[in-house]
Amino acid sequence: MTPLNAELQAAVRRLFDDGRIQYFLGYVEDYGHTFPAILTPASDLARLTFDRRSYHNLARFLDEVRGAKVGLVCKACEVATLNVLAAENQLARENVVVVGVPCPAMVDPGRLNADSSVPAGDDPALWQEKCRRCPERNTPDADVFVGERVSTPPPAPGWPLLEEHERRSPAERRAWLAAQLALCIRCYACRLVCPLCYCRQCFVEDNKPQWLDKSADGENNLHYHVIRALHLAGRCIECQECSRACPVGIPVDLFNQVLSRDFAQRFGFAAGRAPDQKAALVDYQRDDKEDFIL
Amino acid sequence: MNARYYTLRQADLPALFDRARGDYDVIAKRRDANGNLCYGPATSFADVDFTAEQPRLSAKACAFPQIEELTRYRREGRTFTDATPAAPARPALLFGVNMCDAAAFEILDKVFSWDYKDDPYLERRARTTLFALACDALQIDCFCDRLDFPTAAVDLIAYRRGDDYLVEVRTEKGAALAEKYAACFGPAPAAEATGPGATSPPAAKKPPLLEEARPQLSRSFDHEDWALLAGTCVGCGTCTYLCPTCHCFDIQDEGGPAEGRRLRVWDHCTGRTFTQMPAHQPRDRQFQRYRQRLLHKFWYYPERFGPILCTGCGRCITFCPVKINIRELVEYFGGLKATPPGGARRK
Repeated sequence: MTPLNAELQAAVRRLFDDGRIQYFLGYVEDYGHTFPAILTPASDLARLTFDRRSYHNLARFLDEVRGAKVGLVCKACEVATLNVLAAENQLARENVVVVGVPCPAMVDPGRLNADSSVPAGDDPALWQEKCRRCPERNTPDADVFVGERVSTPPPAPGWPLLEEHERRSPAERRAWLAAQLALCIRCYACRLVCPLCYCRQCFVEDNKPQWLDKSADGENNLHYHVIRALHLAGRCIECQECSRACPVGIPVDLFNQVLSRDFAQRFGFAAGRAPDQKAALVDYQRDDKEDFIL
Repeated sequence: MNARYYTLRQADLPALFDRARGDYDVIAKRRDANGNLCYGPATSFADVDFTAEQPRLSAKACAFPQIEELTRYRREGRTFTDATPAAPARPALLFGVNMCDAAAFEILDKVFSWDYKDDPYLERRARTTLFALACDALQIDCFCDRLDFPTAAVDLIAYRRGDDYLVEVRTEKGAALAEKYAACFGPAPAAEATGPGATSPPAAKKPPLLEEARPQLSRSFDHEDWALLAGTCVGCGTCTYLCPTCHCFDIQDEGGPAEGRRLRVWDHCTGRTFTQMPAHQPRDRQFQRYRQRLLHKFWYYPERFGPILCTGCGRCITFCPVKINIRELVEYFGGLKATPPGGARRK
């Protein structure tokens, strides 16, 4: 067991013993994988871990334990998510204990070894794309911090994936989009892993009227992906869970990156910076660029 | 029929493929737009991956496509025309399908030909020949060594023998193919002329099989740990859509006054709207929906039809966004294992 995991397990045991939490959302390691789990005081904490496969955004699972006192392991991704949830009045922050960790950068799940273990070495090519752009590896605003703080390497500037995509010709991009939409099976994993897609009833589930046909073909799939992305405009914190969850390998978060870049370039705005940050689409500054107004 | 055995040389595979293309719509493993393995129509052997690697989606769409047009109408003035597409006429060949995907069809056959004969499924099924490629090793998530899937409906099975293959012809459909392309099939070596040796899958069984979990599973419905262990299920359709044996569907009407169609589309019991009633949702928590999927596979279906509704392909683990492990949960709730996966328990 790593020293970090020993410290994490001890910290969670204390939170349970002191009665500060009823549930803990963390990562456990079993059957060769690391995955999210909802733990109680009766759970075996020996499997609790934080490793380079802890990419899941744990804020997604808060709804399952709504109303209870709950602790959770937070990377900077989860903290940004909690900030958006708080700003949108979706989070009782006093019920949540944020356990901070030094994040080692998550490994792209597609780069894991065949037995699902983490490849040796720390080549940034192995990381998830978001981790190469991460501005802070130590959880900010943690209630409890476990482990030694690490230094954050300088983040890659801009939106490299998006920029690479945009270097292709319009015809190539159209063909690429059509090919991706043809792969989509509309399992809705991208929408359902998203901690900010918290609507009790999503538009895709409405049937009176039915906004979206159930058949998973190109036009309906485009309709779905564009609306999903637009509903996250100015809210997405770029955890890239949507892309990671996609069973057919569509880089779904490229849709979101287009919008995130617009908010950054036009309004100097990034979602999830503070719990009292106003949502970009309900706020304005006197010096906002208005060059889109004719 | 009694199985017959042949040798298929690696060098004869392209010729077999090309000849089959003349008589069949050939579905094989190839790479999709993102370089991932999939089953799809193949027109050139150069595009075919004749390997035991597992495609992301199962092969069930060959008989049970995600979107199936049942009827189509057109209207001009007061005249309605039936524009329903004709069923495909040519036979289909699943060329190099994995055993876990091939075996699934026999399980699906039972449910689609039970009290109601499902013509669209049965027509596609009848025209399909299953030429399976046995795999050599378990991957991290798959578990066909822990169950007994039925293989009587698999028409031909190729077992790798060095660079070549031993082919077992198991059905009349398989024999028809072997006779038609007799030039590609040589005699089996004497040692294997009556059956493959010890390397034939499924490999030696390690007890207990997951089938043995059923008695205890049938008493697990109210187990307090379901809410924790299935509590991370996000309710997407990944497990069901990738599954070779999941077969829930919805009937949808699309279109308008001028033209429209009635479709059968895949649906998933793990989804929030699956049992939604106008005034009531009988499964209002997500863990209840996950429990439904598991118990359907390992309790309700076998109770009615015999085999379990699972061939151990492991896709529902590999591609689950939160890595819920159905094998571990069957073992835990079925009393084959005392400790819950991940150590999570309520008391």
